[in-house]
Order: sequence, then structure tokens, then C-alpha cells
Amino acid sequence: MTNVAEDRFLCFMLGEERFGIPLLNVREVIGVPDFTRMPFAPSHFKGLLNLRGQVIATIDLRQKFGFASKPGPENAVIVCEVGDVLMGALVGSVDFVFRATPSDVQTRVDVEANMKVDYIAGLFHHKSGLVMMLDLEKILNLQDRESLRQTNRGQERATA
Amino acid sequence: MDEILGIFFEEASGSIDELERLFLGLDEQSDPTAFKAVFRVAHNIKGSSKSVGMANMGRVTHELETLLIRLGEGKLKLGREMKTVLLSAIDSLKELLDRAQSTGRDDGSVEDIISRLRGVLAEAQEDSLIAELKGAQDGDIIFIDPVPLLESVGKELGTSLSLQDGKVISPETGTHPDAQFGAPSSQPRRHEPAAVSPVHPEQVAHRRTPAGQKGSGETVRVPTHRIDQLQNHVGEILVLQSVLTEQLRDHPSPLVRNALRQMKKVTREVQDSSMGLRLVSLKNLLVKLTRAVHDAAGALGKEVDFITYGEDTEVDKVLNEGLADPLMHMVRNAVDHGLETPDERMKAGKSNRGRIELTARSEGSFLVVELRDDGRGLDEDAIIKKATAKGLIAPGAALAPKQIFALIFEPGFSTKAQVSEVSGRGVGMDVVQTNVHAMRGHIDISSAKGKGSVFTLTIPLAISLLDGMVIRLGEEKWILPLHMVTESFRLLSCKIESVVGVGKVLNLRGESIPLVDLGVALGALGERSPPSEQVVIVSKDKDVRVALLVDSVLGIQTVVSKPLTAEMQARPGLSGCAILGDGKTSLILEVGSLHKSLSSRRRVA
Repeated sequence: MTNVAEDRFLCFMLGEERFGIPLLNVREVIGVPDFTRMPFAPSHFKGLLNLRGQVIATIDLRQKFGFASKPGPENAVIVCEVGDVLMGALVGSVDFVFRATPSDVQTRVDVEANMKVDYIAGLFHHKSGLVMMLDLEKILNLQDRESLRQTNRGQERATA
Repeated sequence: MDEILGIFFEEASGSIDELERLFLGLDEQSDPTAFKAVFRVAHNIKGSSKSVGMANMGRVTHELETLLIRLGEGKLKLGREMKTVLLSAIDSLKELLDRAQSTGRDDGSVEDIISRLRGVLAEAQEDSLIAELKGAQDGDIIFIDPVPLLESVGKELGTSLSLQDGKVISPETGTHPDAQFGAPSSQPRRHEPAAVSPVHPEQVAHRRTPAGQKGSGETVRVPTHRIDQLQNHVGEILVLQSVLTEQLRDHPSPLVRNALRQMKKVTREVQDSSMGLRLVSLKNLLVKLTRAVHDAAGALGKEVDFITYGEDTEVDKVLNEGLADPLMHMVRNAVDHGLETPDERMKAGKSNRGRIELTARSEGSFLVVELRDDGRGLDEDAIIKKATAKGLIAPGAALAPKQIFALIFEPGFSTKAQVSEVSGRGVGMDVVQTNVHAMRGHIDISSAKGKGSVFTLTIPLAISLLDGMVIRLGEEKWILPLHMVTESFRLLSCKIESVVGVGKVLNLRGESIPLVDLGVALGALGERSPPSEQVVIVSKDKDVRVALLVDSVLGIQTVVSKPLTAEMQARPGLSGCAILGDGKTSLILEVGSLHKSLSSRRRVA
């Protein structure tokens, strides 16, 4: 039984740019909570938040992209679900849900060099403007959790 | 089909463990019912393996069954070699199961173990046949099973003999005209399981408990992550309930106060129940240890009586798993280093059989495991000598017995001239201690030279509940585990000195303890308190002592500690996180690793 939502995407804004992620990976959208800072973490790591008793790590997507442009207000956190991992993504605003089939998405992309092309899975032309489709796994750094664990352990060993 | 396989794997694993447990309890004196009990389990395994297509497991268990029937009939004696082969068969069953689980294939080689089983059966049959023949009178009729006998006779002759139509055949010379057996129909076919009474295989098949249920009482199979989730939520309810109680303590309405009181009681009970869901008994672990002692004793030529108490003690699944490695090592150590050889023991006036006792019991909120041996005990002089030689202590240092024994936990320490394969290189005891500390427990040793030693492990039963001291750094709240806190002072009443190359130290009754400004070290945001308000907390994590400068101590709270997962970018020095009563997430500090990482950071900077 195919899931009806497979071709649905959530569109959100970072600054002036529009981005899309698969709706299937969106658990919920919440207002910006208090974050608990993680010491010595990279600047794109916003911190930990409390989601009804569950502690979730959150990424500041703007920082992750390395946007230098003037920041819009950040109003929302998208709680994303990739596999069995829940992570938060801090964004400007969450706008609408749109439908796109693989044929609608342009994968050969020549984009301005002000953001990492890695994270972009393709481009979609929505009536309100161009939407950049994100590769969630890459941008949340989840594609290789084992190596993440190794990195953390390696750092432990290095400082031991 | 996957679900059936899944159930098979779980049940087979349990049955194999049961088989092992029963085997270990068998010896020459065992009566037929004991063997029959073992046969039943083996038969179950055979049946279910065959029904899911695990042919190899089926074959091995079939050979086991044959042996067990004979043993049960009293026709064979259970000697040491047979016991070893039987245990090896169990090992190969475990291996086959593991391999099938990980590769999805049943492709292990079982020829070796099968021939060993048959070999030991043939030998035992020969022995018993010889015994029968010796005791036979003229005119007695003795029945024998020709097949294994032919196999072993054939081996002796260097050929392979087989039986065909009652005639003995060898590949080289064809039929042996002189060696004939009666026609098959007149041959009592004693090796058929159907002849075993009173356990009839068909009866056994029907008595088999339906899938998903074990022995006494009904059980439900629940994935552990559901239990984890439940426990998570229950923990949070506890925290919220304590906040409510705190806030509404002086509420005017007696109805509200009453309800709060009730809620507190019920919440505690719900918590106990949910913690209870993950409890497992120590029985399996104790069986594993018994096996390890048996194998070690055999390998080292020592005679050991291993007695365990407290197999019904229940602990959290995680604790059970955490105990396995340390106890395994300690128990092997006891056999290898602790106990003397039978000769040495006789010379010392002890019985030639060494005695090792393992007692597990719960004491309050702790699990206490005591490992006692009546071996040679720890030699204080030898330890001191070795430690001095390794530069661990100053020569001539005066140490209390406890401190001397504690030296064996130093990495690389081993007083045995030859480190054996059984208990490994001298990396053992320090790893054991690390593991025990990781479970927030500790090890105590007491020993008398020539008499024996007692190792006592004390480990908290509740794994995720933590008593924490909530401290403020700037505008941030942090948690320091209470068991790491030894004392605290106002900053102004402390003697702080500067040491070149180290930085600030606290002079505590003559001792210099490094002082760390936690707010600065962790990069805390927000306004810091003036020195007149700041507090110094003297902390101790295993053997690391650090004085921590904090802005204020907010109180002590019991929290549910949650793990920091890979994507949370946690660095060394943090052991988990918890949600405080105000709903904010707070990080839990681990003093030892924090200090190490801060020192190395400083070195690098």
C-alpha cells in the first residue's frame, strides 16, 4: 500500500530562500523552545530541546548553510524523523505543503556558490518561487551515524 | 516466515541454555530421570530445528539424543571425556544458531562434532560391553548395537566397516563371510527412540508448550524499546509530580493536598512496576559462569567445586549484561590465580578440591555480589614488591592492606610469573574495575594469605535514576552526580594558591587539588556571580579529585538520566542529560573525563 504522502513536501523559509523536505520525514512543527547549549559544539549545533519528555538535538539550518546574509526572525523548529532518529531543524518559518513528483524535480543543478551543493537534492519550480529540495540525511549529518559515534569516541580517546 | 524464525531463534537459544544448565548438573551419579529431562530438551530442539529447516542443528541434536537415551537407560557411564564432548556439542549448537541468525544460512560444518559424539558413544558402549561381558555367565544373551561397534572396530583396522543386509562389508574386501549378523527382523532394534520408556517421543511432542509461552505462568513478548519508552514517560511523570507537590504543598484545599499525596504514592508504585518489567534473573549468568569455571578447571588441571547462591535475584537487563564480563574474568581469575593445584592444596593441608562460592543478593537499593575462594589468597608482600618494581608506589611506603589489595587494579599489573591464556594478560583487573565503575559500583577485596580471598561487588540497582546536585553557571543549570560530591565551601573561605604549570589549586587541609572554574571551562552564557557568592565543590570521580568553582548550588534533585546519542555532539565530560522540574534539559557532568579533556585542551591551546 503506497503512502499517499510520498509526493508531498513541506516548504520552509530560511532568510529569503525557500526549501523543501519530504513530508514523511516531518514529525511535527513547534515554536522555538529554550535550548540547552552543548559546550564545544560546532556553531551550527543549536542545542538540546525537551519535546514532551524526549530530549532532541537541534541544528541551526542557517548556520549549517553558512548564510551570511541578514537573518530573518527564526520562528519554528521542524522536528524531523530520519529512520529511528529524531532531530530538530531551526528555520525561519514554515509555509506550506506542496506536491512534487520526481519528474518535476530538477536534479542537475548549477547553483550560486553561497551554499553547499551537497545538501541539495534538486530544484522545484513552485508557483510562488524556486524551492530547493534538501537531502535531509546529509544536512542533519545522519548518513553515517556509526562514523559519528567513532568520531566522538575517537575524541574521547584523544583526550584521555 | 520471518516471525516464525524469530520465535525459533529465541526459543532455541533459551532451550540450548537450559540444555547447558542441565548438562552441567549431570555427573556419574545422576539418576535416569535427570538424563531423561535433558533428553526432553534436546528432543524439543531437534523437532523445532527440523521444522524450520535447520538440518545441521537437527543432526547434532539427534546424536545427542542417542547418547542421552543410553545414559538414561543406565547402559553407559558419563565419564569426563563424554561430558566434555557433550558440552562441545552444545557449543556447536550455539554456533550454528548464531551463524544462522547473522548470515541467515545453516551452513556450519557439523561432521566433526558428529563424529566426536559417535566416537565417544562407541567408546562408552565398548566399555560397557566389556564390563557386561566380564560379568556375564554362560548362557547369558547380550544385545549389542552393531553399527557404532563396527565403526570403531573398522577404525582400529584402518578401514571402514558397514552393515548391509546383516552382512559386514568393507570397501576393500567386500563381504566378510565369517562376520555375519542375524537377519534384521530377528535383531532387536534397540537404538530406536520408540523403545525408550516412559518418555515416548510423540508424547514429548504434544507436551511441547505452544510458541510464545514458557513453563510456568503466561508471558507476553514485548520489544525492549517499548519498555524503554514506558520507563521514560514514567520517569517524567515522577519529575512533574514532584514539581506539582512542591508548588501545591500549601494549597488551601484539602482535596488538592490529598490528591497530591495519593498521586505520589501511586506514581512510585507505577515506577516500581515499570522498572520491574525489565528485570531478569541472574540464573543464566550464573550458568555461564559455572560453565566457565568448569572449562577453566579442566584446562588447568584443577579440581573445583563452584557453588552459586542467589540465582533468583532479579536485576535490570542492562545490569545483568554489564556484570557478565567482569564476573567472567574474576571467576576465571579465581580458578587460575586464586586456587592452588591439587598437589599444592594437599601439601597445605587443604582438600584437593578448591571451593569457589558466588553469592548474589540485593541489599537495599544495591546488588551485592560476593566471590569467595579458599585458595592461596593475595600475597601482600609480592604485590608490594611488584608495585614498587613497576614504580606504582614509592619504595618502603607503608600501606594498609586495603590499599595494597587495591594495587591489583592498576593497569598492567599481574603477579603471576606466567600469564595464562585462561585469565589473560595483566589487563584484567583494571578493566574489571572500569566496568564496575561504569555501572556506578565499586569492588572491595579482603584476603588472607594461604586461606583465600573475597571480592565484593556493590552496584546500584536502579540504572537511570540519579541523585544530582543542580548547580548554576551563569544562566545555565548543570547537574553534578551526588556520588561525585565530597564537600563544598564558599569560595571566600577557601585557600586558593597558584602552582606553576598547573594553574589554580585548592589547598584542602594540606592537600593540593586542582581548581577548575566550571563556568569558564564550559563556556557558560549569562552573568557570573561575584566571588562573594561563588561556591567551590570538591568532587571525586574514581581516583580523580577536582575542585569545581560554580556560581551557586540550587539544590539536590533526583532525575532520570538519559543517554547522549551520537547526533548530540557530546564531548567527553558529559555522561548524559536530564529534564529538570522546570522542563529545561540539563547536562550531567562526569568529573573524571571532564578534567582529562580540559587538561588536554589546555595543553593544546
